[in-house]
Amino acid sequence: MVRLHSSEGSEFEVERSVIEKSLLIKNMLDDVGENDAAIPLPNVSGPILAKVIEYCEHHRNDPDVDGQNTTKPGTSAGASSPSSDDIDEWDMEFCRVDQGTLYEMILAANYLDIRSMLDLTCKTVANMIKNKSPEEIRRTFNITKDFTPEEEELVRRENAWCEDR
Amino acid sequence: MSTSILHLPDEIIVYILYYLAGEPQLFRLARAHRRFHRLLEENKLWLYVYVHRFPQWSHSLLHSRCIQLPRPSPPSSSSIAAQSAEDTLVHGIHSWRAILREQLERIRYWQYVADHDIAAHRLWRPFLSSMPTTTHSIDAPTSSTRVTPRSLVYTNALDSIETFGTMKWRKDKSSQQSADNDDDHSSTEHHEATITLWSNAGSAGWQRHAYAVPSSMAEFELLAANATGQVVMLLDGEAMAVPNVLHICHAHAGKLVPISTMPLNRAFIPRHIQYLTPQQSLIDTIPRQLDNTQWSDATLCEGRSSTICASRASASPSPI
Repeated sequence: MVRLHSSEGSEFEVERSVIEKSLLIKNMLDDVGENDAAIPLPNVSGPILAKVIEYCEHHRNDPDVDGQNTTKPGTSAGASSPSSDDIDEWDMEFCRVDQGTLYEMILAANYLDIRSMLDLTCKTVANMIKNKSPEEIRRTFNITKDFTPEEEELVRRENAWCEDR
Repeated sequence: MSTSILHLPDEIIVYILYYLAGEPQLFRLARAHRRFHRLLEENKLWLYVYVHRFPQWSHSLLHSRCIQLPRPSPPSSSSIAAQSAEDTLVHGIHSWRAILREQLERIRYWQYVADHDIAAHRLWRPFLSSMPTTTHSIDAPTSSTRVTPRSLVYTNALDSIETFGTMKWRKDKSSQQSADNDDDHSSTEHHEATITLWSNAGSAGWQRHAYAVPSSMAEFELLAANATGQVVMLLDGEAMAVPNVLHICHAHAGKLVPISTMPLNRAFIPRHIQYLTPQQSLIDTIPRQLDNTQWSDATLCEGRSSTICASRASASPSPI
């Protein structure tokens, strides 16, 4: 078993095979070997760490993300362009949280280097953007408009050529 | 807790945007906030959009392998062209945004021509009517492979394409087999581009002369040189990601003699979209040249290899 300390000091115990979905922790364990000391995770709060563990437990038997079953945005354009449509039911339910929690989950997945969880959470945010106007996007994400109407019109014209592609 | 997406770091937001590469909303996002507008300048993001839009053509194309394309000097009147050239110079790699824009405008141009059946179109009709219509496929050349009018952009790409990552000419021995069997897709990935030669040898009108997946320029030249009359080289691909020149040649004594060169670059097409009318159009211009060609001196190519490169170098762009 591996002990993890969240940012507030809460302790979580989890099977090594489960938490090794996190490359950060896997590498750490590989480097230090078997050790009773808890691993401090100062960037991850207790509730978010609980979500991370829940995710890792559910996906413990999944093949490695760097295998063949995912497209990794930003690394290779060759195979295909990434899609946000392929989210299964459990994952969708897992991501049904408030936006603040979702962003914390993204940051935690990024910090802990859990690629599949990062993909999932980013896809979820991408899906929230789909089919929305700029105004709806601002409302959805609590963004304050920082363009003047003239500037916004300028940007609209700048990108008009690709919006109806 | 972070309550706004803007609290996420840039790299995470860009990562999210990759998943929107196929969505028009990606670009609407630029209007939502200055930060999105800035992040949408990310070149790789535009590469993804390009890959999404042209999946076949961009197959196995790697962003990091891209090198600067040779481009014709853009006319000063075109701010788009100037911007594209500047982007290319600044980044030292393709400006995928500029390339995508160029490509989409080219497609729209031909779509416009097809949709409006403009009067000038009739001049092309003998040529177009002998070609089957509309497909996105650049799969193995088959007798039923169809090409779109937009594919009537020709080619200094013959040079450029060889510098364009993996999009090199390949000769696949099995192409002829698959040409006869539409169900056999085993070799289709090798056919990233094909060339069709059309010739006009007088009363016979425009005829498809050869269909080839050349492995080299030499092989292609041989095919072209065996044509008679006027020769148009058609590069058939899902997209042409390079500026193009229409080369109209005369096959003479086993060599290609350039007659005229028509630039079809990114500056040219938007300008003609703007001014395209039934009375005046690109389509109006090209066939006249085909029909009323001033045959150039056959000695133009004497004493040297008659390459398409030579025709580009020696022929002046026709006035438009």
